[in-house]
Amino acid sequence: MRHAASLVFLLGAAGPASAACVIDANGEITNPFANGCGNVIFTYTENDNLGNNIALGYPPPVPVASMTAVAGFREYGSLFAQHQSLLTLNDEVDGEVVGHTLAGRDIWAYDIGDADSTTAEGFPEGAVLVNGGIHAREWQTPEAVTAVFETLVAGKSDQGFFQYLVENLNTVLVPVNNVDGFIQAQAYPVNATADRQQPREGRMRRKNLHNPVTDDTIDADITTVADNFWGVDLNRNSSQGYGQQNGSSSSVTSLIYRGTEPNSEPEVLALQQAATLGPAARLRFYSDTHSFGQDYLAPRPDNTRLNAITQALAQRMIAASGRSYVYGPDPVGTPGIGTTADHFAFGFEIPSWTLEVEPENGGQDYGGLATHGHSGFILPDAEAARMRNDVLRQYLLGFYRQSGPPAAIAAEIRDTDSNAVMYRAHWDRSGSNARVLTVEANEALVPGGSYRLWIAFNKPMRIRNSGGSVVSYAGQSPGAAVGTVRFEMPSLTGQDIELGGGGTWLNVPGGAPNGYLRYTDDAFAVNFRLPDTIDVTAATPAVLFLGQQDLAQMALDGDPASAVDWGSGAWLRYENVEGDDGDIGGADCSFKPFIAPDAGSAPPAEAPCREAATPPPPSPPPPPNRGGGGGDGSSLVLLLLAFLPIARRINGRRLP
Amino acid sequence: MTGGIARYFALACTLGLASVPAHATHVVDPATARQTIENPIAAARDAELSALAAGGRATELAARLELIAHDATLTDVAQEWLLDRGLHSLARIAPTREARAIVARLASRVPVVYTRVDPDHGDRATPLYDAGATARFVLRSWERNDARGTAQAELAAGLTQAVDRYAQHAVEDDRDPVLDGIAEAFRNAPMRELAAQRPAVSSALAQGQRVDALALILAERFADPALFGLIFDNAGQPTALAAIPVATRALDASSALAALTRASRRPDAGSAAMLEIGRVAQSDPAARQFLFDALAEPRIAASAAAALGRISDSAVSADVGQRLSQAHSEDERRLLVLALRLDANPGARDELERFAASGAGSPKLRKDVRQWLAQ
Repeated sequence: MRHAASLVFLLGAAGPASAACVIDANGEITNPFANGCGNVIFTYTENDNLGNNIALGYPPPVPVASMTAVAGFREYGSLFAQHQSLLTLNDEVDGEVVGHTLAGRDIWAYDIGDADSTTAEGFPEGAVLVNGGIHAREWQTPEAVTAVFETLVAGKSDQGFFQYLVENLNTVLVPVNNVDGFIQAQAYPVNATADRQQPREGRMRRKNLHNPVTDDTIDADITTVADNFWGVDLNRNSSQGYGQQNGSSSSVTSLIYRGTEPNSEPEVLALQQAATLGPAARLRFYSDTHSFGQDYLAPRPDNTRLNAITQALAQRMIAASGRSYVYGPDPVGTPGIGTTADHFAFGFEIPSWTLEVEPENGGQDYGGLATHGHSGFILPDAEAARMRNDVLRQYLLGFYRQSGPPAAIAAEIRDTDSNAVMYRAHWDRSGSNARVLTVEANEALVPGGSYRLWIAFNKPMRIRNSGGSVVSYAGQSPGAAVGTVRFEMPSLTGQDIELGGGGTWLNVPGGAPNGYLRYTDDAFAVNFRLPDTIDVTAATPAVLFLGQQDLAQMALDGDPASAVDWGSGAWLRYENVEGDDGDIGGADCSFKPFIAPDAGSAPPAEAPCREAATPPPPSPPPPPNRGGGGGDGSSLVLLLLAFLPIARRINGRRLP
Repeated sequence: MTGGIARYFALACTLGLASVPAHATHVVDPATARQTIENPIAAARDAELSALAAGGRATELAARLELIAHDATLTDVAQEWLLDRGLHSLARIAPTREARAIVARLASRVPVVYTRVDPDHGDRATPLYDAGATARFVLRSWERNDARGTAQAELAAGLTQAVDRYAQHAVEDDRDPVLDGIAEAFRNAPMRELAAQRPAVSSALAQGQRVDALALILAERFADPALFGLIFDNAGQPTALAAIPVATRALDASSALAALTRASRRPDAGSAAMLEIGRVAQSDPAARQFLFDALAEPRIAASAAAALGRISDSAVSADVGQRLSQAHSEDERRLLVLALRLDANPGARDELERFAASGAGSPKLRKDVRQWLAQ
């Protein structure tokens, strides 16, 4: 008995020592239809690694019928019902069928935003696009994108961060792009075929269900093995980079089969159609959600500013995660390999990437097994909720940043003894990308006077925890402090007053002097006193120097007169304090009260703040030409940019 | 311990901690990895390990693995592959003290062989094998097996200590392998042994102790409505979710509906319960009525609508359509429209067309309906 049991044990040892599938150096199975290769069916288990069982070290998830999120993964039908519920029950959600799969299933895109296409100030809104479920076996991704959907809708009236996003950005989501493949993978939650080192079909299906012989779908039965290796890799089918750099295959059985021609697959066309909901011209962000690896894999077109913005954005988003993601850009100018991220990076000039969510290594990151590297596609049920929240945090921060940089748009100073308004000014929209400053009141502030300063911005600048305290957004530095606020008197030496230390962000409505303007924490207030000892004998100009960063570490638009927008892969009209256009911004010095020895004095001529008045350092000499006629065009661009600050700066104000 | 075993074990011990791999990490292509493990040397070593495992010789097997972990004559791929396979074999045989010690040392081993698993991972490689993770799996497997054996004996003796022990371990760590072992013992136990555990499990669950999995096993085996009720009132989300389809299978229709009604009150499982009630409602009028009534409860209304839609029955579609025509509020209209939208029955489409023609509803709702009908 013991010998027989031993024999059975030997025969049932984990995996055949000599596997029937032949895998080449590129990872391709070269004999997919051979007996003992394609017709082998594996079963994922918690603990049993015998025979054709593959142990994970945790229970393999089975899809759950639930519309609301669970500690696990919802079946496609429930996800779809949830999406349709959010669409039907909320005015802020629109949706449409953007395509049909080969099996005739609808592919839906949803857009979350208010009814108009303008920001709360009236400027054109930007848009963001996120794709999920493009690879069938990556179950994390429909859940993560659905979490974004659910959270935006749930917070739409929060008077703060979420309401701001809904009212000032259009968010387009495709929660499940490869509907056919995803349904197939869910139909076989514990089974895969072929080889432990490269499992295919069932739970491990990656591609869509395109049958290359009939141009219809393959069947849904994984025991009919002749079609188990077929399908098109939807992340190799876009035209940008199609067939290039050995990044895809022309073999129909390959994991990275690119299809017969670019954009041949309905799912890829559906995603491109979804982009039109932005609308396309307003897109500023694209992310294709995948698993696994914890990477931001970004194409890099030949656009320096775009690439720098993409990197900075990714790094802020990575910081918002509780896990160690990395930024992995392509070499600059390489054309891509036909991914959807290539399509949007090159075609739309917007920050774009393949976002590989967790885990980093595989199931062993959660106390499970490596399972030949593939356990990373099978996230344990117990990790699903945390994963959703972690990816959500990253996406929301990215949306917030790409909605546009902050601008200081209103200021008020009141005498705290008399409650009289001494200074009141606000920037209001005056054109499609312009604001005009209206100064409603400008009375003299006198030494010895006590005042309350109130400043408002065009977006919520902070968030709060459940206890109501201002906290940093995960991984970002701006906390409760309001940052640099300086009452400058440029014509006086050594008498500027730092005000930021006592400032507080405002989370009650009502506007100046104690409430926010439109959204919680879009304004702060600080009480201050002008020292008796300020040496003024006549009306003297002052400037409010504002050096805030928003919660995603973006600096202020230094010139609110021109509203920031996006174009050609970079920010437009995002100036620093000197009025120079760029992608970093700076400080704001647009609010200019004055002080005088006596109340009732007339305002003097305005003065620039110190930072705007200081000449920039001399530009470095241009690099030498590389020889030959014409030299390097990039040198000329650098030279032009170097001269721009001098040409455009007079009295700290940007030239019209 | 025989002389041979002692010799191997002594040699393994003198090598000290087994955690440091002999090779630096490197990324290997799949073909190379496959060739390495198929070569005769690796195959021969694998056969030796299998033979030791077949004989239940845990100490020798573990000692052999520790030697492999330091064998510089092996390629890294062969080394890691053999460790992984040998450790999996160890998980299936009874451990010895020496084997536990060796596996504990192997548990801190870091991966050295990486591969590119997914073509979209760029330059990011993932471990092809992770012997340290497998060693930790082995330790958990042994702990689970030990717990199962102890619990089996207690169950056979009519003792309830396993219930107390389960509750205690669940508080400390809900992924503790002891919990799995005790649950396995319950799963495999005959009914008469489980009957003696029912009072203890019910009492513990009612007091808020985390004996969820044990309760579900008993609830299913005894088709116990009271125990299902306790589960839905007290258990954690994973067990509550797992219990939903089990309740439908195990209980009669009336009892199942009562149990699922309790589950529907949970914020974390209410939607799942409503969808399951929808399955029951295929044949149970009381379940259908429950769903219609639930449309008035904001927390579960959307799930109730979806559940009604999933019944896909012309009589239900007509009933929903009738209510839609008489709806007084936009919220009510939207829920009923959602139910029809998710209803694959042709009658549902007819009802939506009737609604569209009525001109009722907000502009947004009318737009959505027109869009659906146009597909």
